[in-house]
Amino acid sequence: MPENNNNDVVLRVKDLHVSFYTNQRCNNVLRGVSFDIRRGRTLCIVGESGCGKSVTANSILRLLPDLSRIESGSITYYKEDGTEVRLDQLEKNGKEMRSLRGKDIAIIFQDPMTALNPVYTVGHQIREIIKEHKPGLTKQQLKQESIQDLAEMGIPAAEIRDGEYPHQFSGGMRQRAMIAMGMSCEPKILLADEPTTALDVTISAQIFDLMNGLKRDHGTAIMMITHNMGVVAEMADEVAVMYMGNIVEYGKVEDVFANPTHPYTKALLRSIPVLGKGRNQQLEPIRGVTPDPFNRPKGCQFCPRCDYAGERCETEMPSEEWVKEGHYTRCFHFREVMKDGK
Amino acid sequence: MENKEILLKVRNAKTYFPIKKGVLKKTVGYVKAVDDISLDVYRGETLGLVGESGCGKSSLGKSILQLVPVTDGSMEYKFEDGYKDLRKLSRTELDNARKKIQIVFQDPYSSLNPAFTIFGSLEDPLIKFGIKDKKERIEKIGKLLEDVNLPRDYMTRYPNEFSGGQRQRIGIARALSVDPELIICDEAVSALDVSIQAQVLKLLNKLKEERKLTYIFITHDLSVVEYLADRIAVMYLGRIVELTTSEELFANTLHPYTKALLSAIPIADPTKKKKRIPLQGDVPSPANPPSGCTFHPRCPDCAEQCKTERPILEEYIINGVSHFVSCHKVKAALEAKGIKAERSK
Repeated sequence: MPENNNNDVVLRVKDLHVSFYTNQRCNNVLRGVSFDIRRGRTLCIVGESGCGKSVTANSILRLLPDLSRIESGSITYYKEDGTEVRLDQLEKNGKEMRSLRGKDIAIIFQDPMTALNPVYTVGHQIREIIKEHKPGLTKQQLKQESIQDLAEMGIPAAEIRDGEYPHQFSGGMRQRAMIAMGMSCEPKILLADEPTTALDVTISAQIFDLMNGLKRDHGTAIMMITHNMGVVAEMADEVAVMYMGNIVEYGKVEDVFANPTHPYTKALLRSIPVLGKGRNQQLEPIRGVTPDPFNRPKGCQFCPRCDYAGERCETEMPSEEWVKEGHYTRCFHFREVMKDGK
Repeated sequence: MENKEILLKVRNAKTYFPIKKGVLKKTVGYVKAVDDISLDVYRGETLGLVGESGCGKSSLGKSILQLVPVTDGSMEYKFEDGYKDLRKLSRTELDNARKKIQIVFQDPYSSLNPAFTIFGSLEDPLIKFGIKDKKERIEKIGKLLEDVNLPRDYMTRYPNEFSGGQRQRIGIARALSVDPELIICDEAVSALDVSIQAQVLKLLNKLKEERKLTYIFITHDLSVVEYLADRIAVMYLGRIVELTTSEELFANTLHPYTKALLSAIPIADPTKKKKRIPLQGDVPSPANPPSGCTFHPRCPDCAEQCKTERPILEEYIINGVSHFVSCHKVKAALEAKGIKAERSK
């Protein structure tokens, strides 16, 4: 992945391997994932269910379940004063990790109803984070802060809403409350795990505007996980396409959409109906299904479903190939894929 | 519109769910899930029903099948011996009607019984509708599975052995098992991954050709509906706000809600940066809908009249295509676009 170490990079994940151990079986969920998150930019990670996108986000915050392990690789967080913190080496629920969570790196989960605690008021849950990271505030000040956070996220009548419970909020409002909570300590990095999948399009458009505002005004680095190519095109500066635990293609969003170099990216783009193209568009489904994670193909993970697959693909996992500045792909045949066009 | 055969006539359909409160379960109000909807479904077409969650699109689908009690209105279906109101059928007649109208549900995980093999799940409708011989049933189910691109011997397996896309195809096979004419697809592809979604969409199109099916396709995803549907009905808070052919809807969007909905959909093309029409706030509760036009609190183009007077769904003929829209300001919208439209009665 990109080696230029300019000051923009706030988080660097390098060759990350994560495994889950269940029933005496081992699932290698992440198999060498590398990417950078930059200040004031949005990185979108896109892929189908089970490809490891959420695991990537959770391993950055060390929120993985007990039966999992970071096998190798590094997650480095670059603080503003220039110090480097190796997140993967910190104690999982130790003091240091806890001081980073919410303050420097915050996460928004997919389903706001299960992520919010139903027995506390929304305001209380926001204040919990502020209390943890800004000690010494009086009750009055805390309350003011939480109300202000809610108001900033466009929640009307924030003073009243602050004292209400999650079930009194609608889906879109809950997600705003989640973002308010995430943004309460002005984190440097915002991880958003499918933040709008459970919401209607008009509401998700509002949430996207909100997130773009944060990026613009606070220079927050955003890593967004999604499975919707439309959302990627709309929101992303850089995009990483994941398949079965690997980033198969990484690049600027314009480059990846205009010249997909990995057969999976190309197939993915061809299989979605695009609004405005009417009924005459040819959809080309990807044949077969995603392989069983306990019974993976030996070489390239996409090989059994790929049109370009050759003998080498069956036995060997392709390494990252340089396509152009900031555009990488994991495919032996990427030149052919490029030549065939979209 | 050309002389097409009307398969289903829905007139002033209303489905209200009572809200009960207190120890005595007194009815304190109604959720107006389907509020005065009239539409025709032509034989052989795909009618898309789109709208946000809570707009009543699924309730309308279930109302047509009489799976929920319908409060008022009529739903006339064309049987061999003429139109009959589905609401007035006797129990046995309704069973026969359901042989013609089938439904595919959204969630392929909860709509198949985990304790039954696929054969067991698919067998029930066949027994119900008169195939008594077991060999015949096995033969028929094998054929059905092949029709939905699954191997014949999968019928001995249990639902947990299948992926989401495969399950959805089994759901479709089950709906097809009684040779229906009309299939209501209630968010049939929403729960699937994109690469699998395309497989199911293609399958639905193939089956429609082969079996001359009619679909009512309920979804919140406009890009899917644009790909599949001949006509699209846009719903908002239990009412249809716009109904026309797919091409016409995208070419001449008339209702402000449809415009906002279209502008909110992210398009998978980073070079197209379009202007969004932001909608304020959330969808109001259908238990307590706003006065007048139900869209007026969120409408960017709201006038005094909209707050008090409820617009009716009126048909306009634009370039020979019928275009239903329910908005007070539709004339202004038409004039602004320079479209000549006739109002039809």
